[in-house]
Amino acid sequence: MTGGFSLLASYPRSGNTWARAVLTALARGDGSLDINAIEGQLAVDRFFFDDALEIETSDLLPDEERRLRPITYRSAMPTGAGTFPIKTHDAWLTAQGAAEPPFPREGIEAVVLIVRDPRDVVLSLAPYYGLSIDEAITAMADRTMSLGISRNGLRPQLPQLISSWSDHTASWRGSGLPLTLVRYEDMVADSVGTFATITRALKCSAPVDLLARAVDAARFDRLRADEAGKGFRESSPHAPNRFFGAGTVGRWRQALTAAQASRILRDHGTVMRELGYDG
Amino acid sequence: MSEVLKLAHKVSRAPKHLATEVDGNIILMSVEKGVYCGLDDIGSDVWRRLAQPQSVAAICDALIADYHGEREQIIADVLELLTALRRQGLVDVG
Amino acid sequence: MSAERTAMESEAAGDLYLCGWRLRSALPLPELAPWTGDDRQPDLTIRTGSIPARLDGARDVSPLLQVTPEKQARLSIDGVATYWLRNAGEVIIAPQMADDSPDIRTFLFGTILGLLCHSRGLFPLHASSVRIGDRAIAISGMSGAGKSTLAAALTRRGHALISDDVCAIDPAAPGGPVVLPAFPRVKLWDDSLAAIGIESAGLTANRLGQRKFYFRFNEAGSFQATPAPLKAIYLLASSNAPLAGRSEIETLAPTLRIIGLHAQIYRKRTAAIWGLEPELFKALGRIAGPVDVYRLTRTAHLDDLAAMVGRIEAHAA
Repeated sequence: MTGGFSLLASYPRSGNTWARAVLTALARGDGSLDINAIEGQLAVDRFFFDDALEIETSDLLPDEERRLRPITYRSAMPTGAGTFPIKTHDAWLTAQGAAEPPFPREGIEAVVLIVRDPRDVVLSLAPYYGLSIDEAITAMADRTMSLGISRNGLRPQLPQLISSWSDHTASWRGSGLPLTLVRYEDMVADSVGTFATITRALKCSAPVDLLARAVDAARFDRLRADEAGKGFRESSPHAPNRFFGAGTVGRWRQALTAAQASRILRDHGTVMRELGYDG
Repeated sequence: MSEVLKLAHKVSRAPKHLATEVDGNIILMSVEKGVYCGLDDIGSDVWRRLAQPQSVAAICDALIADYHGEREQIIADVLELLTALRRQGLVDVG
Repeated sequence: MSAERTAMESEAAGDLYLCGWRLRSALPLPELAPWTGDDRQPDLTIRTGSIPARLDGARDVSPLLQVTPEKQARLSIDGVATYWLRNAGEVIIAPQMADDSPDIRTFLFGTILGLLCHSRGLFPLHASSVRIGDRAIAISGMSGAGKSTLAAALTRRGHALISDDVCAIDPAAPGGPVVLPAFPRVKLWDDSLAAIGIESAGLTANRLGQRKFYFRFNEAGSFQATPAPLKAIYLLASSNAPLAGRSEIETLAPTLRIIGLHAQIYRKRTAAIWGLEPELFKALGRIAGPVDVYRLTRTAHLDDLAAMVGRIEAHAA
């Protein structure tokens, strides 16, 4: 059985990579940051599974991949899992073919769940996945939504059941795991304070001045400039090298129609209200 | 490991390393640190001589004799090389 | 007496070729070419039989694989089969599907073939290989990088396929490293087939229900059936970022050759557990000296396939 690990969990487009960028800058100590060297392995990298299992996982069916994920994590974790959180978009649900949620419960030391107003999430989700806003709203409400299923071609990741935005959020909050919830909006409004909370949860607390320097190293305008200059390997083919957006809060008020906003409120209102996304 | 390498030090190849040779030049890998190290002609020569553990001085003397080079320069180069190899976990000092 | 000899002859007549080995198999292996070499005893036997739950002295390499220090291995794929590499000349399979299911062969010609190479002293590279002109080139990279797609596209242009996914190299062959051919079949997903202009309808699926298929090259001349000297290895690297100022085929200096090839040793972790790391690393040098090693950078899309194929052809000629 491998040692414990921590998770940085979020629904897509909610600030996971930004959080990892800050934590990377903090860990580096010299305040430097290379966006293509952000720490925090993706939980579902295929290369990790091929090596951990000693087979070509491209020869597995999706149900088999889903079943084997927690089993694999009991025997091995991605490099660095002992010192840096693992990134995941999974919901804490038992996916088809699996016998339990994606990670072995007994191995999880801490979960930091980052949530973001779904009305802003959808503005980021649409271009990233090449969807219209209305299509993205539909996708966000789909309880069966998954990333990374190899259907007609091989995806570089194993499947992640992300479910709907509200089911994703509720699944982690109801998991009984050692969970710290942070809001993207608070990461923007009070970066140092919120990252103090995050680092405390991950047991890598740091003095305020170092936190401030790390936050500064990972400012959105810097991340965007870096991406424009060098490219970013996590950007999507639908929007190459436009992974990092403006990092703003509340842009939905200008960018969504009233009908779109109320669709989202209708789909996810209960959880939104619990998290303070009422307005 | 801030101790500076000296001529009197005895050096040997670290037990856990991988070695291969391409066109006469040696390429090493430190299993412990996961780093690769490519050696040039002289570096490869030093590594071959390290098949036997010996003092830094003995290596320098042998090179000075074979290459007819400037004594001070060779000593400086060998110390620099061995310091780097020690940092990579490829050479032990004892 | 004569009935028995006829039976033995007909059994021998069904022998097959795999990576230079004479193979006798109780399971149908339609991908493989017939043995046309000398009258030696089979180098390798594959049969069905029962397999112990645990091998003596075994250690778990993964939740699917146990191995012993004597280089036995037991691979278990639920619902498909269990495989026992009992010694370097014998593989026993306990199928959980019909004997002729492609799924069984998928893992046989994957992990098991890789471990056979390691136990028999061949160097398996994670690469597909074709013959261009009179020499072999290998295209290496991780899953999904495009090895099979490029190899299939090149074979369709008249170059002969040597192997797909596992490239068995003899680094110590007199005259320089050679590739030992496997069989004239590639595994391709729907999107790759479409990019090459092949219909998937009617093809055998790699796994029941999967949209990845076996594509067999049947035309004469499309399979290089004898060992071929290895001339070049192309290491596939993908790129999201613009390639400004950077050529797509880059010659690698010796240290970078070693680093690149080291990462592409097939089933490297098991080989390390078997204590093979030092000699595999030495073998890398024997390969990277006489064989040219390049980094081939491409975007992740299949749109540039034709251009990439043309570039490789021109470069390797």
